[in-house]
Amino acid sequence: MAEKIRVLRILNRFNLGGPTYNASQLTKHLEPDFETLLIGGPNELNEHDSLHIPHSLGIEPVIIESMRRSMNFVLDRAAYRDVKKIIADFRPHIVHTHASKAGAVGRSAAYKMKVPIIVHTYHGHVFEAYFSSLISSFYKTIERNLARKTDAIVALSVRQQADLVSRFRICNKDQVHVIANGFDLTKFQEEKAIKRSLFRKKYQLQDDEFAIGIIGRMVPVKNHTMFVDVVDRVSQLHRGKVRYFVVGDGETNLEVRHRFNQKNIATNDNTDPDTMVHFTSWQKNVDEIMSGLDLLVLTSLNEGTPVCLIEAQASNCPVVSTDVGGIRDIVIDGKTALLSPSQNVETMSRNIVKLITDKILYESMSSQGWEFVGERFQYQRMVEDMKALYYNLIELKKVKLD
Amino acid sequence: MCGITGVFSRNDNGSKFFDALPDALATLRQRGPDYSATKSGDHFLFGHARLSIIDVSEASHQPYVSEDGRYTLVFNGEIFNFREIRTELEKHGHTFRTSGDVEVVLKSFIQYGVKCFETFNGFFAIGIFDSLEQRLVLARDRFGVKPLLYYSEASAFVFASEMKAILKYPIRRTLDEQSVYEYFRLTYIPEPDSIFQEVKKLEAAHYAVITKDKTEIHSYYSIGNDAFKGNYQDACEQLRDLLSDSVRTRLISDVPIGTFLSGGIDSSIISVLAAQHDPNIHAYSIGFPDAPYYDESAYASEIAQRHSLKHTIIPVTEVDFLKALPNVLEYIDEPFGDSSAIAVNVLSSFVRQHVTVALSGDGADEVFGGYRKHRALAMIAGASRAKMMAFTAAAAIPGVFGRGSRFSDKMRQARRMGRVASMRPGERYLFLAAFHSGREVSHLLHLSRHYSMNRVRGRLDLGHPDDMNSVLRNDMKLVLTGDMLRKVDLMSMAASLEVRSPFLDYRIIDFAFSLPSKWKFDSLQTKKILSDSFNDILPESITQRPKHGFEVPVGKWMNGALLNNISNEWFDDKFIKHQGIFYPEKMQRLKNSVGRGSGLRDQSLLWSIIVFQNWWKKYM
Repeated sequence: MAEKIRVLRILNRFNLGGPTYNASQLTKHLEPDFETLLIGGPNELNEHDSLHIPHSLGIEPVIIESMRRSMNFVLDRAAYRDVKKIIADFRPHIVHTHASKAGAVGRSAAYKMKVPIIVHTYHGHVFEAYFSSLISSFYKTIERNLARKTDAIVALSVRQQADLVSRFRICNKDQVHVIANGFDLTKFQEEKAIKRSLFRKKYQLQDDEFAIGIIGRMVPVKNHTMFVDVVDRVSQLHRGKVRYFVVGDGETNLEVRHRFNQKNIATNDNTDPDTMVHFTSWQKNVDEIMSGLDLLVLTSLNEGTPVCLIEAQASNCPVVSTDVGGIRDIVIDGKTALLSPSQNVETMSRNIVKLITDKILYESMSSQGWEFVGERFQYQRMVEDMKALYYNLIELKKVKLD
Repeated sequence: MCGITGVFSRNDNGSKFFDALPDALATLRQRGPDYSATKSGDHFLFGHARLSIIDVSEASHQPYVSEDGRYTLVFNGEIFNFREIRTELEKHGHTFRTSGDVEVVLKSFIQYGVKCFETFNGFFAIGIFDSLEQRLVLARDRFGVKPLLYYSEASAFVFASEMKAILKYPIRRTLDEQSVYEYFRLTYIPEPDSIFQEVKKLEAAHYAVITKDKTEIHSYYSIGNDAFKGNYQDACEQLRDLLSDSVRTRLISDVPIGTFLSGGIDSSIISVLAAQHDPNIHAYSIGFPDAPYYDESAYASEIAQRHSLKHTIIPVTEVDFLKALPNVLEYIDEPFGDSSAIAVNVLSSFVRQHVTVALSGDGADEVFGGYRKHRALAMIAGASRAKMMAFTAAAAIPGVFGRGSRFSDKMRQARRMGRVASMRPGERYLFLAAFHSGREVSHLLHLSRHYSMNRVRGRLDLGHPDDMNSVLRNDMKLVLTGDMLRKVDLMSMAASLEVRSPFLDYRIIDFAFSLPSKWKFDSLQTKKILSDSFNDILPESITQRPKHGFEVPVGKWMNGALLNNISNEWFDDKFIKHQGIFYPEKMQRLKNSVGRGSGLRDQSLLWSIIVFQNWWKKYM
């Protein structure tokens, strides 16, 4: 029996989000056929550390101090050298990079070191919403060059594949393989009633109070200020009691609070039941939050395949979201979620009110959430697909396993 | 005539608006079908869609950039005194590359700054970007002939000629319920507000200066307050000269030009004056062979024959109306429920087959007091106690009469008069200006108990109910801009036709407001000085006949195919319930009562609903 296939898996950084889950799940469940070394950069100061995700699966990643999120020529050069050194020591058959920075540094290093197989996964892309058009076109040029050095590109959805191939013309169609994210979703179905009562007791939520959450990094692309406008509008449209939870943190935190103040909407950082909006910062017990919430909202200007929506559906929590990016790949509009055009405060607010007031609609959306994601987004399927891709590439490239 | 749009990116996040500009510009194609272009620079992007009227050469294409590259201009409109301004500018050392008004507008701004808007005689919506100072300047003509809407946030400032263009940008949209209420009362949404909380209209006679951190809006003109020194005869003579000159300057065009001739006083004067300057000019009228009560084309023919005008009557039937209906609904991008828009659209589309520019009589009713409400208010203002009691008694007439026949119309007027007389003086104007009463609207709208007309009230001068000039000023501000000019712009642009209104020359407006109101109208006669000044032109059959307005027999036609064909999806109970705007029962009742052939008020309300629902499905 030949030795195990060695995979070097490179992540930007271990922050709370899709790439961390994705890379950790793959590292864990590709065992025992594959031996994986998981490496990544440190977190930024205002981001919540999420090493608990790989740790909970018994994985100890290696942190590369020189790998940072934004462009930095000195550090980027250092990261490139560090990764090359790791490749020389670990001698991987496959280098698989996740997200843009890791993709740039990792793929360049792997190419230089003549690693037989180079794979890259796009988690959302940077060409829209994050940057101005000039900077975006700069990134596009870089990505096109990198794509030429890549054996396989993994897209998380068909839509993302189309974006990469036809819209932004980063790579050829046969280079791209669609493998949707996979998660361990069973915990969202376990002990739901207990989790719900824990959350609702903590915030003294009455039975007739409706709890709405928004979960994610507080950055411009997530468009939290629209959430403020929606809260304001819903309170005009609907007289019943509603409480809101802003879960997460980031650079727009102050701006968002300021906007709530401008609209005379009370906010706090504690559990005081008399304020309408709670800022909870990052929370690790996502399953408890999802069980406690009645509705999850997403106001993003662009998205790849946001994990929180999959988790919400796995907890039977209906979703109200903007209709952007890959959202339609992970919810069914009208069945598990109500979508509205980007920035349309009015329609989103009315969708929320619709779900608060129409009990029949609410129940049907709630029950269809798990039915949909339970079968499509469990991690086993993702792992099988990824294995198949790796074996395929090994055969195609005639990689010798020593 | 043209469509303009632009983006000023105030920080890096604002650049996302740039990507949407081509889509926004594409929605303005009907305003400017001949040529469209964009121009970008440091932090800004402008787009322009052109309908070529003056200097149709390429040199006048827009966005137009100054020789030194510092200023970029987009301009929609016409400056009729541009040759005079150009001569002045040449004295200051400016040289000109083109023969049109576009270059004059930009160089005036370079020479005089924001003061230049005071020198323009015409109608316009303007956007100028100053790259050196990094500021955007917007301006709109004195009376609001050309529209200009904007959206402002910390990262960007966006403007466009129409709402449909603004909505192509990634802007927030929140329904302005106060605007919804005003719409159902007035059939339009008065500026500066719009149907969305985030989008505003730049008000007539205002300009805005937008920098990275702030937006400042200023007024540059208000109607003059000087009293006319002279007698009635002098005034008539001066009005004749002014109007003749206004018509003359508005005949400047490098493309075919004609006039609208409705058979009323205003358009007759304009058509005849135009023919005096240019005997070849053609006059166009609309006739309703199916609905004789509304048909005014016989009067138009009389004028045309008397003055040997070249004249064409376009017969409009129910079929034309129904064919125009989808176009009208399609073009409306903010609820606008004045049903005469359909007729303006039909007229514009037919006239556009012959000419590119048409002169109209718009504005005369607001400037010289041509509405029945003017007579009514004058009657009440001058009434004795005994008369007031008689008026008040008329309020008891049952509210079942519409405009469908002469008798019915008289009864309707008498009842309305009675209600007005019994009101507090400050409330009378708005009651008469509104199409639908507070009661009608509160029965229809879910949300109405939270809203009133206070926002509109605050913008009007209602403190001088007995001063008829103050009534006219309110009309200029509310009815002319919000209803009349918006209707003409919207519906003529939908047909790619430019409409010019000689009555809205600011020299005429200032003159008219310097006159005592009783020279314009009293309890017996409307537009007095206008009829007297031009009595040599106008036959008695026209000056003495009752006011009609440019109305179409919506009711008659609505009772036919309309209800069955297009309205069902908008009245679906489940849809209405989720929409949360209307009371579903009232909607059904209204639809049924119109189906049975009820009064015009119900029909008008129903049309407002149809427009609103169609708009909702499209834009919400």
